[in-house]
Amino acid sequence: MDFRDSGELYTVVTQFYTGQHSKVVEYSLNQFSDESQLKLLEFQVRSTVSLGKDASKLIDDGKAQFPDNEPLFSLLSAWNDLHSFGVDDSTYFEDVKEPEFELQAILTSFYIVKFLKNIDGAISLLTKYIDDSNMLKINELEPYLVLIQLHLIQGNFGAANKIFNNFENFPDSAKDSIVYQVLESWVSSIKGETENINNAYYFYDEILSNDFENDESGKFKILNTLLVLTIKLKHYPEAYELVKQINTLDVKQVDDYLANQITLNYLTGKAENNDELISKLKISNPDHAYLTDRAVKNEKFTDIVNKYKN
Amino acid sequence: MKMLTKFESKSSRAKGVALHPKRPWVLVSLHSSTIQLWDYRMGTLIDRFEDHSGPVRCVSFHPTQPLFVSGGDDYSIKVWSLNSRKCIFTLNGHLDYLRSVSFHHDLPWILSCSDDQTIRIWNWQNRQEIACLTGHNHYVMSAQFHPKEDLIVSASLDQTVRVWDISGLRKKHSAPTSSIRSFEDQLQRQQLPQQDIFGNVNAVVKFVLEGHDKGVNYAAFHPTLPLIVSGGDDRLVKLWRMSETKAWEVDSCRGHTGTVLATIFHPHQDLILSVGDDKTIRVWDLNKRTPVKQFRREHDRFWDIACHPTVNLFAGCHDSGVMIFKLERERPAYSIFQNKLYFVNNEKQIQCYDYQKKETSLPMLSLKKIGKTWSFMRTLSYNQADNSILVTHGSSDDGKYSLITLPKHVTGAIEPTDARQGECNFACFISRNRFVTFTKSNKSLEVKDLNNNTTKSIQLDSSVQDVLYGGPGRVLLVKSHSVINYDVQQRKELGEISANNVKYVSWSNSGQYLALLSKHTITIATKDLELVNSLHETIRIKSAAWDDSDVLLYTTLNHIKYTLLNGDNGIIKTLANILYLTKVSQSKVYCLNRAGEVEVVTIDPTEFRFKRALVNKNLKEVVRMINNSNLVGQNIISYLQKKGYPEVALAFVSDPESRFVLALESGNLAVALEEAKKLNNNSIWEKLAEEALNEGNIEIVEFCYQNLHLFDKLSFLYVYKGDTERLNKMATIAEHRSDYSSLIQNTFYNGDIKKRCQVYIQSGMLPLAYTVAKSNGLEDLCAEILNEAGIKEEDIELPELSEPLQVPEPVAEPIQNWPLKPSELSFFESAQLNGGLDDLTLEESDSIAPKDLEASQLELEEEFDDENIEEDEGGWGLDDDDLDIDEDQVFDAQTDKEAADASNAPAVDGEIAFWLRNAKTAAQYVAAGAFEQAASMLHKQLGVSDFEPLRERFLEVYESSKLYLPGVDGLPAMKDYIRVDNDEDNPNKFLPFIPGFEGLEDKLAVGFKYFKDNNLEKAIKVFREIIYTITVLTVEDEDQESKCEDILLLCREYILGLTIELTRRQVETSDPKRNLELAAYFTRTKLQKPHKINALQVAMSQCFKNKNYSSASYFADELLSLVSSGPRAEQAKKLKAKAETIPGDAIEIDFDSYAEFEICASSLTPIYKGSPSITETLVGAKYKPDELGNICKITKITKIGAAASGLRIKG
Repeated sequence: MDFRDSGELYTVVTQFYTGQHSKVVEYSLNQFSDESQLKLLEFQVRSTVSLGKDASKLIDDGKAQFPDNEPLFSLLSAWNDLHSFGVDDSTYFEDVKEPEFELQAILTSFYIVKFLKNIDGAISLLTKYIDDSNMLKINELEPYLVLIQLHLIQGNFGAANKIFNNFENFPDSAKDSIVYQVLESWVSSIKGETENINNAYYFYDEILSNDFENDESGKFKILNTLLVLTIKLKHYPEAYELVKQINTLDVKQVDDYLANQITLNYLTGKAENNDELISKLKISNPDHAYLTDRAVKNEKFTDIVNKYKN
Repeated sequence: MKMLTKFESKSSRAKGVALHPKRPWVLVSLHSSTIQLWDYRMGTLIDRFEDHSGPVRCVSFHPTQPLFVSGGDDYSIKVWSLNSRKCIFTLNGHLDYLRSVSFHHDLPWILSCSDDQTIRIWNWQNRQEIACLTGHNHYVMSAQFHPKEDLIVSASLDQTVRVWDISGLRKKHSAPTSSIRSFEDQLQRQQLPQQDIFGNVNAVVKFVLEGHDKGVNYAAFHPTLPLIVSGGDDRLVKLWRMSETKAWEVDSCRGHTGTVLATIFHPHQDLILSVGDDKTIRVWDLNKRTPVKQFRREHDRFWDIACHPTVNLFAGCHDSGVMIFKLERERPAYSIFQNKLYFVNNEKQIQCYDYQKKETSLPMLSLKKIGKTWSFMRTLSYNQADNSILVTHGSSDDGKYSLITLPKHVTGAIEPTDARQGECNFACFISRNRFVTFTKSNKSLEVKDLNNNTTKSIQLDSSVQDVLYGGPGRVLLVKSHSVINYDVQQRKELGEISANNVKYVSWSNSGQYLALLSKHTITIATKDLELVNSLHETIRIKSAAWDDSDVLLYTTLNHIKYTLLNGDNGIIKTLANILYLTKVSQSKVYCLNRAGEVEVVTIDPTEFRFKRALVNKNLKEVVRMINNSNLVGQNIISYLQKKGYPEVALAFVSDPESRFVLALESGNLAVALEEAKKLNNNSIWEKLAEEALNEGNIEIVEFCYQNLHLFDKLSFLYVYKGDTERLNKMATIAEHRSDYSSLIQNTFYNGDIKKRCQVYIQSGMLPLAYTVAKSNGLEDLCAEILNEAGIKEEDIELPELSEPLQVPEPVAEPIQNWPLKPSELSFFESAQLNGGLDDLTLEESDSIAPKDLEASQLELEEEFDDENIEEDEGGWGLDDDDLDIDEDQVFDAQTDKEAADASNAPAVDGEIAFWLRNAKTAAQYVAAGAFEQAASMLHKQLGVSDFEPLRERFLEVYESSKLYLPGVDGLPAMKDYIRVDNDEDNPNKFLPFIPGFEGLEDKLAVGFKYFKDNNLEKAIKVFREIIYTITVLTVEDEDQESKCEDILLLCREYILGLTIELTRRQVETSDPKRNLELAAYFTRTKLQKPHKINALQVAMSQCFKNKNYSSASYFADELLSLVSSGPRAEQAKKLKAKAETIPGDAIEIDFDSYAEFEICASSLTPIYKGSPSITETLVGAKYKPDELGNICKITKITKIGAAASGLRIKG
């Protein structure tokens, strides 16, 4: 992504990186200049996949429209197929050992995390991709975004913050990028302290002021993020307000939301509802970090019980 | 009354006796001419004085000077020095046997009387006779100065007793001169007027007392009253009274069957003592002149009796020796209950001493009319249930007990009104409503109720000699060689320990240990009579008491001493007077003295605390004490050395010699070297060299050898080190010293063949030199030698030579110190070096007063309509009573350990890493996911052993601070965290948010609600959850912490109360006793007021239903004191009115409404104050000792009695 001339795509990019995929796919290519169309198409394919829909048609159309971009479309096809047919059909990502371009690096890292469950592998792939470039890839920010998230999934704030601090070496204009703002919001939230959390909160609150009438999944994502920040600020009544709002939405991928609700219930002395939430979470995503962590802790606790019993 | 013989000597035909006023000495004058000086405490003969010829009939100590006087059948009076143990001078003048001699209490006079019919007064300073009193016309058998006035009383075989006035003599001699008067002076004095017709100027007969029908052998003044007692051949003891102007016979004491040879007044009591040749000592009542007691010896006639001027001791001499005795025990009977000491004072009155206020009450009861006039109160037992005392008195053949209620208000010594009495030799309370008595004659142990009815009678083994208190429901049966722990209820022997002639027992405050006291032995045992230790004292052991840390303090005749459980002991203080310990509290020892008063003695407990710390390996405490207290003395140093702590001892010593020895023992070579330099003598250097060699410290070895001039050893050391340079120097030195043997040795060491050869050459040993040179290939030298010797090579026949020998080259660098002995710094040394003990202070941790739950003002918003609650249900409110919160002990050492454990936390990054680094409480570790560290802390702090019930709380705390921040689609969410303080910007203070504190009150309300709904199991569950919440919680400040502590106690009381009530509801109807007991205990749990009313209502109606009307009335009263109107009050009033018409309880239950007690949370039975109990740490639940190690019934997680440092939840 080239943020320097993203003026035309600014809204699209923002929507894409804040999870408003329904809006991204709504655009028509001919609304944009030729240079931007391919990029838009790329976002649209990814958004379509994110929404759990098949993007084959978009890809085929794109192939016809932009014939010189074979590698990109192979990648997008593999990405789309992966979500439609699973891992059996294609070995595309298996074969990517050293990504050649940004999107390939990003999508391969997603593949490694999601299907191989190997976050460390994804981190090293991305790190290598970034390091291998001789010059600062100042126009490619997304690998940083993904890398930071990967570190934060593992709770490694130190590594994430180090990458974040590297942005000091980027031109100031990079900080205007939505990608930067998104990753800054994450770092702020996890870094803690009222001011940081508030900044992150306002960032998402502002996004929420957009029109989400036809984008429940987008709204859900923003509200869920706001829920985390509200709980962090210990604004429990407001948190319940958000829960109320979220519950009116029809979304499928609610596992993180369920996990956050469990925490909220503990904090407000309503733990009696948690058994139900845990059951729901097990159905929604049996591999969710909350459940695996809980299982590990339970086992650890059993060891303790046995240790002190005698 | 009882004669307690303290000492007996075997001395043939003792005639006279005297007791030293200060020291435990008795003089005995014998018919054989010897005077013996005995130490009656130690039982040893100190000295013999032999200067008289013939029998010595009288001796007397000077009241203040180291002198004594004796008079013999050799007509002489001898004055002896106790310092030189020699006769200083002899006073001659009497013309016949001396019958008595004594010093004046104040003037330098000696009074003597003799068969020459005279009484003489001598000035022992100028060794002159100053008066001769004539008048008696037969042997004068005794003469005595009045203790205060200028009077003498004398007794003679002329059948009279005479009182003489010697005031004239005092005037004349008021300024005694020490120089011998000149002849002229004496002549001049003889010219003085005022002589009577017999030439006596100075002493005149004041009264002649006639009344004895035969010769009078003895007459004595009363110490304070104008009375005289005399004894004569007419077998009578006569009492005389005198005024300023006349004297008259008061009465006679009849009973002696032979001649009365001596008689005296008791120095403190209204008694007369007399001895005679009827082989008896008799004691008479001075006021009634009736016999009180007599003691007979089988074969020995008594000749004399003397009393000690201050101590309650008498000495009687008889045909085969002397006996020292007292007439009664002097151990004041006492009993401790809670913070009060009840004791019998010397006026036979009960008094009470408050240990806290340090005040003695007014006498509250007089026991003068209890038992016989002269019977002594031997034991006292106090029962708090009805505020009564049980005393035993009388001697072994006519012992009795009296059970007397103490007055409610102390107004002075009133006479008892309701004494319940009986025969026994020992009696004590064993429960609220029972006491036991033991009668020695028939060996029966009887259990009696408070109405003095026997409820049980047990025939004991005939070998049981005595009985002692053995804890609630138990007694100790004392046999000659053993003591048995006996359960009276089950009639069962629980344990036995061998111990000879045990007289007293002292139980430790924890009830875990007891000390059995015999005359010279203390046997320390566990409560189950397993021997812990025993110690022997050469002098008598008088009493013992335990301090709170299970150190036994005891008194002997001379000292307060201590002993630790491991047997280490020592002296704390020397005593002037005998004291009976009753209680030890920090540095205060509360004693009773023989005057029946409480004495508070301040002691320095440093030594035994220090030793205890050392024994317990509490080295931090040891260091603290060394740094802060003034522990000094050879005693402590040798103790440390003996116990294997030379490095600790080192800290106390400044003398170089001791420091050197200690430093060597502790392997501290640096100090040893430093001291050796100061001492600088050969044996010191040798010792240091040896130790340094052992430790591989070659430098010091070298230094020592240098100082010792041990050149050969030094050379060898250098070889060993491979230090060729120094080796060469050694060779040079040897050469200088012309010590060729040494030089040769050095050449061997350093392989300097040439030098060796030269030495041989110099010494004229050319063949040897040649051989050496040749064999080493030194051809030039060979040639030189041949040249010198003037022979040729061919002339010499040498065996075939092999290759020249190569001396091995030493290692390149001389080796350095090579430590052979591990010499790590001990904890002690490193602590001293690092000084990492700044946080320790010397101030004693003052006992934290029990917390007042009420004072903490729990703001529980309760809204229960107590009037609408059905029986067995109800709201529960704050009790007015205090909750006993055990003192929270803080174990610094343990905290360090915990912290150390915590540092083993898994390596993580980010927020969790901060939390782990900053965590202080178990909850913070839980939140950081370090469950093991948290569990370890909880185990150590609270004794948590069953963690399962805490699982939910652990997960709750862990998960409560974790959030999942959604990121890029298609990837898992990021981990986000909730911090306790979002405004904190210092990562060193980042900590997780721990939920729970805010919800405590709501949860309590839920618990109360369940209770109100009669859902007791659920209520218990909720209260328990609250406990778990607090167990894994972090609070911000002390207020919150103390609120949590209060809530813990509240939960404990509610869980206990509910458990009691649930148990009660399950009790079979066939067991109404248990039902009633549980109902009664329920009322004792510290519930909130409206809830307490419910408990009382249950107890009241259950009692009423079961015809326990007195108890029902009591509970009704209690209820009415909480609520005065409304339907429940009305019901209580009605019930009370009804109950009071039918007094009494049909079923006797183990509940004492007046007693303070805790309830054992397992057996649900009372633990009365003073009974042994153990405590659970988290909520402070009390248990009987046999529950030790079980899981607490209240918390279900903590181990009872586990060593634990206490709850720490403040972040």
